[in-house]
Amino acid sequence: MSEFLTFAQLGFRHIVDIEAMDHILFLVALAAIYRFRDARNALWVVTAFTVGHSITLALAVTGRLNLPSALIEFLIPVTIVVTGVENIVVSDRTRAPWGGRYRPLFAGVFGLVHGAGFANYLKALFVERIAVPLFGFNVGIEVGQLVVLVAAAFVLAALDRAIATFRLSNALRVRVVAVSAIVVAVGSAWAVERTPW
Amino acid sequence: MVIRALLAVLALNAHPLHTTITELTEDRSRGMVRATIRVFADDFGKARGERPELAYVASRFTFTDRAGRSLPLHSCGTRSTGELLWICVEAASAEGLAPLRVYNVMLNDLFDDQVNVVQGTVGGARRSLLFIKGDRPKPLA
Repeated sequence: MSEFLTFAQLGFRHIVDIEAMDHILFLVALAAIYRFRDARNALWVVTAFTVGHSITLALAVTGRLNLPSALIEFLIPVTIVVTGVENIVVSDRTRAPWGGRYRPLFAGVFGLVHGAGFANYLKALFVERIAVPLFGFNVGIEVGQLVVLVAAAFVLAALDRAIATFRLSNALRVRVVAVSAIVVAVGSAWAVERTPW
Repeated sequence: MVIRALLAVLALNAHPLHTTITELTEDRSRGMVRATIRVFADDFGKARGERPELAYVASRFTFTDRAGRSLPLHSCGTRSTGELLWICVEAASAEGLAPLRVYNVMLNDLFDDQVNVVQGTVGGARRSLLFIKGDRPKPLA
């Protein structure tokens, strides 16, 4: 197998593993407000998240950025909580600032934090020949994220169908609040657990 | 069931990367092949327990010749940098790496999601192998 494919597989396995639940939960929080018909908006947000974490990953692994891992591990659940709270608070996206189009920026900034989380482990392992392993690992992470998002989209659609049986006037809002409340609860517990002070 | 699933999720902590990276080299003049295994020191300590370092490594990492025999491993030293251990083991192989099969399930006894990467240059081409739990020995060439 080529070096690129090996590290792509490593990145993919890392993101779809149950141990990566903090990243998965963040992706679920980002996806919670979208339906299949909003795929284009969701794609912008995920692309911004990808760009963000690719930047910190590259900077940290190449030694240009040194981040305290305890702080990063704390900030990761904070990004989950903030995303979940934003989902709950903004009930009408058309009336949100910038028509709700700030979300890719938001995802990009939080992506910087998540990238730093990966970087602390990779920095230790990638000692020489960094470029190909890093690029491969990042591509694997991206593919894994897309798989997680597609799976999340199907789960959310199934949830919508379940909610629809109750004939509620705003089923999407019920789904967003329910999913986000769970995300906020889990993220808060992790944040408390990982508090570095 | 939902509550149990939530509790399981809550029990997860920061997600470490359960990976080792091994670089293989050959020294034709000495008829030796060498593996330098990069492993997180704390994980390695937990996995080997009271066993001598070489005994643990030999139980999880092998070079196998054409006849399917495991080559005896000898230590060529261990050093540490930060959180990492660099464990060096050697085996005699007059033909170098090309005819060998490699097996690396280091720390798979500790972590189900352990992934071990083995890399080397054989016949001028860079090769990579990836090992997960349940894998068998694999040819590098």
